[in-house]
Amino acid sequence: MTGLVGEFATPVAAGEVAEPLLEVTDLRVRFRTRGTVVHAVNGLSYRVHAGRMLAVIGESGSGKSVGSRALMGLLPETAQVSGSARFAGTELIGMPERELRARRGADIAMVFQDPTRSLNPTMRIGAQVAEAVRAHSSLNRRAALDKAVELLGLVRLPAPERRAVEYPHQLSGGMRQRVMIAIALAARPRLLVADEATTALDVTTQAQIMELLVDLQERFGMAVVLISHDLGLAASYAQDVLVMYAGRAVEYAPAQVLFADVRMPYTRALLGAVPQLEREPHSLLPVVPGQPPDLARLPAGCPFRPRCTAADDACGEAPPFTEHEPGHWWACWHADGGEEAR
Amino acid sequence: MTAPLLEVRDLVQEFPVRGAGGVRGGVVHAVSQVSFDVRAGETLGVVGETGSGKSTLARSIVQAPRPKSGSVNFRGTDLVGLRHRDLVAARRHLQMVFQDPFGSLDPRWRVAELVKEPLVGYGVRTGRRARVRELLDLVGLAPDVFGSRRPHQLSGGQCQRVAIARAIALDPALVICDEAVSSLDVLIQAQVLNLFERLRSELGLSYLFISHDLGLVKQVSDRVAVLHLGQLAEIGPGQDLYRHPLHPYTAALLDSIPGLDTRTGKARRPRPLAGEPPSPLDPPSGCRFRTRCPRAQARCAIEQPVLVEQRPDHRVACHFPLEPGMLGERDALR
Repeated sequence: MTGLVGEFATPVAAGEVAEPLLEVTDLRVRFRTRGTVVHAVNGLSYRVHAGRMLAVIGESGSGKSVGSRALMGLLPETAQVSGSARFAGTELIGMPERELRARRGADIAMVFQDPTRSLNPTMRIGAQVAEAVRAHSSLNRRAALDKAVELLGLVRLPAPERRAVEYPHQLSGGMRQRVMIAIALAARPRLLVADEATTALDVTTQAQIMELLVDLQERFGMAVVLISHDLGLAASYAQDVLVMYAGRAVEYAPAQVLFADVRMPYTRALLGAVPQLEREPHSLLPVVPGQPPDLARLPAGCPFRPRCTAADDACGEAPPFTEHEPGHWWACWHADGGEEAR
Repeated sequence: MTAPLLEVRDLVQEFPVRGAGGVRGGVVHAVSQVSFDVRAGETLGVVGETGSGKSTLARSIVQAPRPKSGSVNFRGTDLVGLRHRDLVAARRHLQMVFQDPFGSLDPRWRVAELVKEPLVGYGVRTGRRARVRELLDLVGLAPDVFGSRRPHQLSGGQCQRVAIARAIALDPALVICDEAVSSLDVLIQAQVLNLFERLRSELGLSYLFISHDLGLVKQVSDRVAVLHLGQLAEIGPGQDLYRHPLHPYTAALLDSIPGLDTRTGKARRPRPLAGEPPSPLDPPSGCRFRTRCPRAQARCAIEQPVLVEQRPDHRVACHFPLEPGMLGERDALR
């Protein structure tokens, strides 16, 4: 049993009234390969609101990327997707590929980690952005190119007219990621999914790109889903934070609520393992033994149980992911501590 | 004071590059006149961004490839210009751990063989089997479980433990860690970092710990060196350097880290530095940071700053270094 109880309910941040832009309910993704079934996403539910940034935090294999790619039909054929994902009222799961293709980019756009692999090395920057513009509009080549330069300016690429005729290799990593964001913005999407979009960048460049994302989010009322392994990034920029483990949501709250009062032991462990500038040199980090579970052989009950110091017999049954305090959701039987996170 | 374990002086490494079509040439100034010491028993952290020359620095120290000029004095011997055979002998005490845990292990070999290899290579004839077991125990891999596995049967963290076991097999004095935990997830990273700390205290190791991650470097280092475009911008005790950075570049790096003060639960919102990093192919004249520096003046374009001791054991290469008083806001945060 993978724990269905309560997972059909969807988290709502405190005091919200507006309809969510994206509402994901009980999303499940499994991959069938050579006789084994990998349970990548196991009943994931969350909401994204216009003008807000949701950070989805997790380690490798937590399902944070697979979950968002499933919405856009970007998974390989071997993936079996079930559950619901409603974008502005329209169901995305099970939508025919042709319809989905029209929505990709127009409604939801994605920016990935490695801009080098996403850009065509033989095409000029401007032409690549213009291509995205023309895919979603009836502009002619000339007008699309003008629009491309405008978009490059919007993402604060220095000297956009000059850069538009350059090739990807002539740009730095940060500039390439700006180009990717310009392409993503070509059809003015209402939701931008940034999947580890700053992970490969230097810390100074990361800060610039994040400022840009926040600015775009505020100016256009765009919603942003920030998929990352970096809790610090979530704390600094996101309004809402969802923590995932083994394909499940384990804690969700507005960022200020979450970081002031971490409840789920896994979230606490993640926070504790991040080297802090405040710590003394050579101090040992609190360590969580073991590794994340094999998604082809998920243990019964709480997936964090084998590594959790608070685990006991109750954890043999998977804890439901429910709203325990206004706006603060978690999936844990032993989260009653409420003590200061360390 | 005893002599330092490693003395690097005026190290220079440059690589010629060919322009488009092989016509226009150029030189990447990867490491330019870098000098520092690693003292016995200490961990010296090196932070720098992409292209700062931190990996080239590590490789120049182990003479792979040999630097263009300068000296690398390790335990009283200058490695530069050493004959190959003597260099191999010296490297026994100078080991490296790299970023990619899979890439640095031969996929066909079993773990026990991988850990035995350095012992065989350096002609250790007796007690090899026992030593392999001891090493695996030391890095937290049960010999009976993991000894017969191959790298593809291991997780990233376990592979990195094997790489560490290989590095410490010959009782080195200094281990150079080049982004050694950067590819690991944070919980596994914490396990490996603690392993480094434990080996340090149990075996009396010294580390040169290279990373782009300032938080990580702070955690493990006694002293920290900040590398910028192939040059040393600042070097000093970790605590002092992070609390009172003297170089505007160090301050900019620290201001760029997103994060959370876990004591207050309050987030730190980064203050980004403007502009693009200059190319190491064509670094700016004078101070290489001046094009992005908020404090730059005319002198910075003309005169290249040299490292000067501004605070105890804390040196900076800047004509207009920051003063601790100016950083009240940062003090409050850190």
